[in-house]
Amino acid sequence: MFLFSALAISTFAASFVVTAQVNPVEHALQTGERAFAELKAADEAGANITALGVQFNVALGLLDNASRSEKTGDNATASALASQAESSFLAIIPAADSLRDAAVSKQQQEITDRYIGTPIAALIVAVAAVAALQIYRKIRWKQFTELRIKPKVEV
Amino acid sequence: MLKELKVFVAVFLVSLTVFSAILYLAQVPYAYDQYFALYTLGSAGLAEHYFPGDVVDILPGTRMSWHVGVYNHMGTVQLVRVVFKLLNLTMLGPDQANNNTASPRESFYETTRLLISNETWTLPVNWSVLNATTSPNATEIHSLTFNGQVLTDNVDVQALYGANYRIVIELWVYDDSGGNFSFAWAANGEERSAYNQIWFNMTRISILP
Repeated sequence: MFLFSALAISTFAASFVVTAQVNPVEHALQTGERAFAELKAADEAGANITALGVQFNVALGLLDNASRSEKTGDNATASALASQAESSFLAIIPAADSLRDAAVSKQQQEITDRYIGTPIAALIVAVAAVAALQIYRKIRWKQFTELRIKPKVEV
Repeated sequence: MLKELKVFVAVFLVSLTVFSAILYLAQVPYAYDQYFALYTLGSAGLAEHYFPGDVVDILPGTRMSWHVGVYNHMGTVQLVRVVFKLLNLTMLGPDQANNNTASPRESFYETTRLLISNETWTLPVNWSVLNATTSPNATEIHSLTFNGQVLTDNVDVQALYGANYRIVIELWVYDDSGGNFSFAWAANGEERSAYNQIWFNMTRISILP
């Protein structure tokens, strides 16, 4: 009875291990989805993702070929190509994350600069206006003091 | 002195208002027309000469050279998939009038690409019918050569007298929320889709020796 139970458990465990094995192409595809999500987040934050986009497309090409190899039954090639694609996707994830962080920091700095810059610009304009007013007054005063009453010439 | 102070305060307030308004207007997102463009061009990269000698009644081995292009004007990076299907006249094609549904036919070839904003992707397509047979009133395609590959899955299509075959090219877009590719996508609050189809015949196969 004990032996039978142990056999049943081990059979169940073995079948679980078999079903739990993830297809390499599927696994690479899931990693690719994560990489795309990171790239999109970086793009939306304003980062330049052109170089990473090229890298992503190379990985997609490998994954396409892996998928075709899998369909023709060439599982060894499919697995190798999927593994290469996954490595590329895994390299893209932290790179995209860094780009996004840099873009967010830059964006925040720009917002801060704008909010500080606006009252400073207004202050400069106001000081310039007062200075211009004072210069104008000085000129007018100088013109006033230089006025002379011209003697009347009698013919 | 009091007059200077009054001028200073007045100019400061006016400048602050004007600069704040400019800042606000600069930050308001402008209306961006979101769309994808999908197009298929002939051998010379123009909307003509899709078939050698412009003869749409092809034979097995006749080589077609097309350029399929996708342009991303959605404003953000997008993951797109171009899907090729072979249909006859009666098989259901894509239906944009009915909730933007794709053709239920399985694809014989598909390829995926990431497009950054404002990017155009051109996919060269070289194909020919590799094997087709004919019966008294029908022609049946069995295999294609497509960009150097021999394809037999989802290309077995029969057409009455070999007339009115079509290659349908659908654009599928990755949907972040659903985590899958979808034939329809949201653009400016509306659901959109895009496909091309190019018709051809194989009526002359029966006269081959």
